[in-house]
Amino acid sequence: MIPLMHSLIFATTLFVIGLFGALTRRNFLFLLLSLMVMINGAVIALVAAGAYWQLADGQIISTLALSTALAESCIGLALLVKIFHRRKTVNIDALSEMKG
Amino acid sequence: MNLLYLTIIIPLLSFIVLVCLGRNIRKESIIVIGISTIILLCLLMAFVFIDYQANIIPDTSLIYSRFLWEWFTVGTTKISISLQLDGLSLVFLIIISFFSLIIYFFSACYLKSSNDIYTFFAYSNLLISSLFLLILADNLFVLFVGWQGVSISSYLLMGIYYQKRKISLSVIKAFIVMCVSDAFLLLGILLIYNELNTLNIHEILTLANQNLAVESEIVFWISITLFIGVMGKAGLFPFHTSFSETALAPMPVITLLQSITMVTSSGYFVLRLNPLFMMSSDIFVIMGVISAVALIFSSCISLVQNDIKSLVTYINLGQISYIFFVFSIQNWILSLNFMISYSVTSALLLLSSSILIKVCNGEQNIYKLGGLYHRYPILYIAFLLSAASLCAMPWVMSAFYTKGDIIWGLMMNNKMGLGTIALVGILLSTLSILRLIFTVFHHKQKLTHFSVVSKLSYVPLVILAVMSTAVFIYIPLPIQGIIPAFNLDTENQLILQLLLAAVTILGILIACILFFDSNSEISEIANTPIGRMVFKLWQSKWRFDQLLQFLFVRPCLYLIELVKKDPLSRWNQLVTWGIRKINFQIEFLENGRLRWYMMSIVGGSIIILLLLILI
Repeated sequence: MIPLMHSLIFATTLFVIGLFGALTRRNFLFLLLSLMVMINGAVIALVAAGAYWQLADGQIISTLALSTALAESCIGLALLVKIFHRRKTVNIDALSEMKG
Repeated sequence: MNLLYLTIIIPLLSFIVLVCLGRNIRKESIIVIGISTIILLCLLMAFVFIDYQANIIPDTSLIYSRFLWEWFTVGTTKISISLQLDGLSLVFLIIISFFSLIIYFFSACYLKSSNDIYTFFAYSNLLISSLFLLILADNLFVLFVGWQGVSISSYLLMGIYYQKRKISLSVIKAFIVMCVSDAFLLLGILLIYNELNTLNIHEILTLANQNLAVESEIVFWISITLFIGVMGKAGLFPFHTSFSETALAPMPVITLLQSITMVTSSGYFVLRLNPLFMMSSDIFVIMGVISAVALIFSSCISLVQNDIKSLVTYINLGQISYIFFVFSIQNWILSLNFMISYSVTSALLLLSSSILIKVCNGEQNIYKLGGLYHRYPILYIAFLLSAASLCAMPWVMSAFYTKGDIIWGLMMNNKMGLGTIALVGILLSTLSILRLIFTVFHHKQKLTHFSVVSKLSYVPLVILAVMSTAVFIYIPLPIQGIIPAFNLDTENQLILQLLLAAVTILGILIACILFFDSNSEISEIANTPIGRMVFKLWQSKWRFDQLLQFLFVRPCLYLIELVKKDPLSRWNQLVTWGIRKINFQIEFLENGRLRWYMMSIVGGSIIILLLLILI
C-alpha cells in the first residue's frame, strides 16, 4: 500500500514539472506535452484520492480527465499542423499577436 | 415732483436704445435721440424746480422723498430704493442737466463720425443716469451704486478711441485707480454701517451726532476712507490719474467728465455728509495739505505741456484742488459757489479748446499753431475770458470773488502756508493759460488751411462766457438747514483783494514778458542744466507713472513671477510624479506575452496558498 502523501507528492511534482514546462518552453509541441504532463499529475492525484477513500469515483473522473486531455491534444496538434502550414514556425512567441 | 424717477429712467432707456441700435441707425437719428433725451431731462428738471419753489416755505428746508420699492433686507437693515430731493440735490441736478444740455448740443455740432457720436451719447446717458441716481439716493448703498455707475461710464467714455492700444491701456490704468479709491469709499460706508447699523443718510447724520464721539479714532478712519474715495473721483494728487487720463478722450467727453462729473459727484458727497466730516478736524488738515500738493503738482505740469488737451486738463486739475481748499476751511456754501464757477470756467476753456483743435484740423501741439487772433476773434475772446476767470481777474470775473474768499478764509483760519500756495497756484495757472493763448493766437501763423466750424457751436461758448462774469457770483442757493451757514469776517478783506489783484497783474506781466513774443529768454532758462532737468521732470508729469510702475506694477509682476509655478500645487505634482515613477518601473510587466501572465498568476496563487497554509 502506497501512502497517500507519497502519491500526492509525486502528483505535485509532475504538475509542477508540467507547469514549469508550459511557462518556459516556446515550442508549441512542447507546450502541448507539458499540458499533458500537468493533466497526468492531476489524474494521479485523483486516482490516489480514489484509492485512499476506497471509492470508484476517482477512477471515473480520471478516465474523464484523460479523455479530455486526449481531445485537447488532438485539437492542439491539429492547430499545430495548421499553424506550421501557415506560418512556417512553431514558436509561440513569434505567433503571439498580443500587444504589450 | 412725482415724476422725479423719470430723470433716472429716461437717460437709462436712451442708453439702452442707443447701445442696441446705435450701430445701425443714421447719425442724424442718433443726434435726435441724444438731444431729445437731454431736452426732456431739462424740461423735467425745470418742472421739478418750479414745483419745489412753489412748495417751499420760507426759512425752512423742504425735503421731498419718494419711496419706490424695497430692494432687499439684511437682518434689520432695509435697503430701499427711494428718492430724496432737497435744496442741495436740486442745485446739483440743475447744474448737471444744464451743463449736459450745453455739452450735448455742442457735441452734436462737434463730433464727426457716427461711431463716436453713438458711443458718446449712449455712455453719457448712462453717466447722467448714474449721477442722478447718486444725487437722489437716500441711502449710502444706492449712492454707491450710482458712484460705481459713474466710474464705469467714465471708463467707457474715456475709451471711445479704444482702437489705439496706448489709449486703451491708459484708460484701464485710470479705471484701476478709480476702482482702488472706490474700494476705499466702500470701506468707509461699511465702517459707518458697522458703527451705526444703518445706511440711510439722514439717520446716519443724526445717529453720528448722538453715538460717535467727536475727534474719536473711528470717526477719523471713516472720514479718511470716505475722503480717499472722493479723491479718486475728484482727481486729487495721488489719484489724479483717473482725471488726467481723460485727456485721451474726444473733447466733449473731456468737458463732460472734467467740468461736471468729477466735481459734482465728489463735491456732492462731501457736502451731503458734511456733519460727519466736521466731527473730525484732522481730516480738514489732510484735505488742505493734499489739495496744496495737488495744486502745485498739476500747475507745474501744466506750465510745460505742449499738447492743448493735456495742458487744459492739468489746469483744471489745479482748479479742482481749490474746491478742497474750501472744504478744508469748512465754508460749504462758498465751496458750492466755487464749484459752479469752476464748472463754468472749465467748460468754457474746454469747449473753446475743442473748437480751436477742430479749426486747426486736429492739430494739438501749441507750437505748430500761431497768429490766429484776427482770424477767430470770438474764439480769442472766449479764451481770454476763461483765462481771466483762471487768473481771477479783479472785479470782473466771479472767480475773483470766490478765489478771494477762499484765500481769505485760509488766512483767517491761520493757514498762511495754504493761502500762499493758493496764491502761487493762481500765479502758475495764469502763466500756463497765457502761455497757451499767446502761443496759439499771437505768434507767427504756421498753419495755412483751416477747417470750417458751424456757427452753432459758438452758442454754448457765449452762454458760458456770460455766466463766468461777476454777475453770477452769489446765486441764492436753496440750501438752508442742510449746510451750516458760514460767516466770514469781511474786515480788511479789501487788502486781500488788492493783494490778489496784484498777484494777478504780476502773473499777467510775467506771462507777457516770457511768452508774448517767441523770444529766446524762455529757451535760455530751459537750456540751463537745472532748467532742463526741471522741464524734463515736469514734462514727464513728475515721473509719476514711473513711480507707480516702481511702487505697484513691478512688485506685482515680481509676485506673479513667483507664483506662476504655483508652489502650493507641488503636492499634487508630487503625487502624480510618484505614480508615474512606479508606472515606469512596472511597465515591462505588461508585454503581451501570455507566459508572463501565467507566471504572475501562478506566482500570485502560490503566495496566496502559502499565506493560507502558514498563517
